[in-house]
Amino acid sequence: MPAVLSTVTTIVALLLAALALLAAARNRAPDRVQFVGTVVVSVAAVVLVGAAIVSWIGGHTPVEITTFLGYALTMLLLPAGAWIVGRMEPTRFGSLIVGVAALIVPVLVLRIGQVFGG
Amino acid sequence: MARPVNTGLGRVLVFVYGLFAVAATCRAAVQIVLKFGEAPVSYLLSALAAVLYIVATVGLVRGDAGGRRLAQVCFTVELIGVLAVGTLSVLQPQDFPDATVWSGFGEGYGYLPLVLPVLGLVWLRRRDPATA
Repeated sequence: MPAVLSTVTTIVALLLAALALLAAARNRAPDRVQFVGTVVVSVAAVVLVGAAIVSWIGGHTPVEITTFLGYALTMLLLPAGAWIVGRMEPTRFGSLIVGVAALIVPVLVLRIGQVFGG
Repeated sequence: MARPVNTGLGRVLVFVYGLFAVAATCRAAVQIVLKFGEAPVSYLLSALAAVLYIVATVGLVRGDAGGRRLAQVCFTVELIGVLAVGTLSVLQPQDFPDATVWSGFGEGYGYLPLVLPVLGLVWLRRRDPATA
């Protein structure tokens, strides 16, 4: 699992978190910019998990298989899920939901790295 | 009529509580299925926390009088749990060979297990002064 993918996913997630939390602070509902950010983070997550699975097929078994699968599934679903719930709340709190979810993604990246193993 | 508890900041609470419900349930399930013998007390506490998060989420989503009371009970038990387990895990770490969601006042989860029940109780109280 290339380190660059973890770094890129972490950076785009933190950017989305900054955007969304700033929007919440400025009393703005989730907008198009946050949507694009969510899509970018989702794509990064798919690529990251995909790379891990390719390397698994290539012979690198995750250190903790069950936990790895759980975190991988969570990371794939979280950005889209947060966007859907965020849109149900067309106030600043919708942006807060998108921002909080985006803050969790770097933690997931870190844990996926740990349970997958170098 | 009380204002809804499941919109605005309440929806953020529902989202975060939902995440915690999923995370704690999965964690407890993995621990209990794969290595229950290592630290049964820790893993049962994890399972208890998971159940509380699920019930609190359901109560908040329902948002009616019963749901509020349910959520309020869960928040209160969680707060007591995280304070008790947090204190014990600091004073007598040998009793907790493996970490729970509540160890060290929830330090493994950014102290959210300590912050969330307080936030939840304050939220319920602000939305419905009659139940306070």
